[in-house]
Amino acid sequence: MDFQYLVVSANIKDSSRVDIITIDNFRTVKDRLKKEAKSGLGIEITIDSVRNRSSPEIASWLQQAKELIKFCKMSRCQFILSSGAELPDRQVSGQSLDAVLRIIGIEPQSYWQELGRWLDSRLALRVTRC
Amino acid sequence: MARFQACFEGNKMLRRKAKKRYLAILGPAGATEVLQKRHAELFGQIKSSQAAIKEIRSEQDTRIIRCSLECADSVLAAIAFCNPPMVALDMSGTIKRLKRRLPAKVNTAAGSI
Repeated sequence: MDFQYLVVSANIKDSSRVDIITIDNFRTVKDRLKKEAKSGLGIEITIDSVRNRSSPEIASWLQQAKELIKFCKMSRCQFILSSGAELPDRQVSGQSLDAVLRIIGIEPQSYWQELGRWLDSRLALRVTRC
Repeated sequence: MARFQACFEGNKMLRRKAKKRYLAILGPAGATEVLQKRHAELFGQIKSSQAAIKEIRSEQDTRIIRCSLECADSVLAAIAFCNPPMVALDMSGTIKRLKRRLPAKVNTAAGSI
């Protein structure tokens, strides 16, 4: 049976070997991402990482998300917004994700279509047989 | 005739009811207050009063809250950033339809463990 998979890392040094890089603070890693991010890389930010922060920090995070979107467009990387939930009660519903996408200036429908195309292209490369 | 039409249109505008949305939320006790506070901090007191977030019903972990339609997006976004965490299960224009769809949504949320 064939299984498709993606490789995720929080370490930017692994960007040439993985499919998705998870980042917390875009501004602190921006310069390193400019050097190391290759075209087609997925850059993920998670809502769970900011949930327990203060509201000014969340507002700053939303602004950084907008900057990350611009960076992804310029460097042909895929912007990924996820819940980052490791427990069921930390999930984020689809409607809430769409609302956050609208706040950071992305039309949800086009985001999901683009993400779907990117996923198809990455998953086609990563298949393992078990 | 034109004067009559203008008066009628004026009355129609005054009688228009503000559109609301009912949201079902899975969250702990005090979730509504947490949501109101987070919404006010993120979007401001003016937008928060326009949103008019109010708890209508609560059963165990599930709460039904009401908010204005024009601020539904900001309320949904505020739910995503609340701590303790909560999940927006469903949204509807009427409580009746929401309660009808709710058991399936709760089972789906519980089954995703």
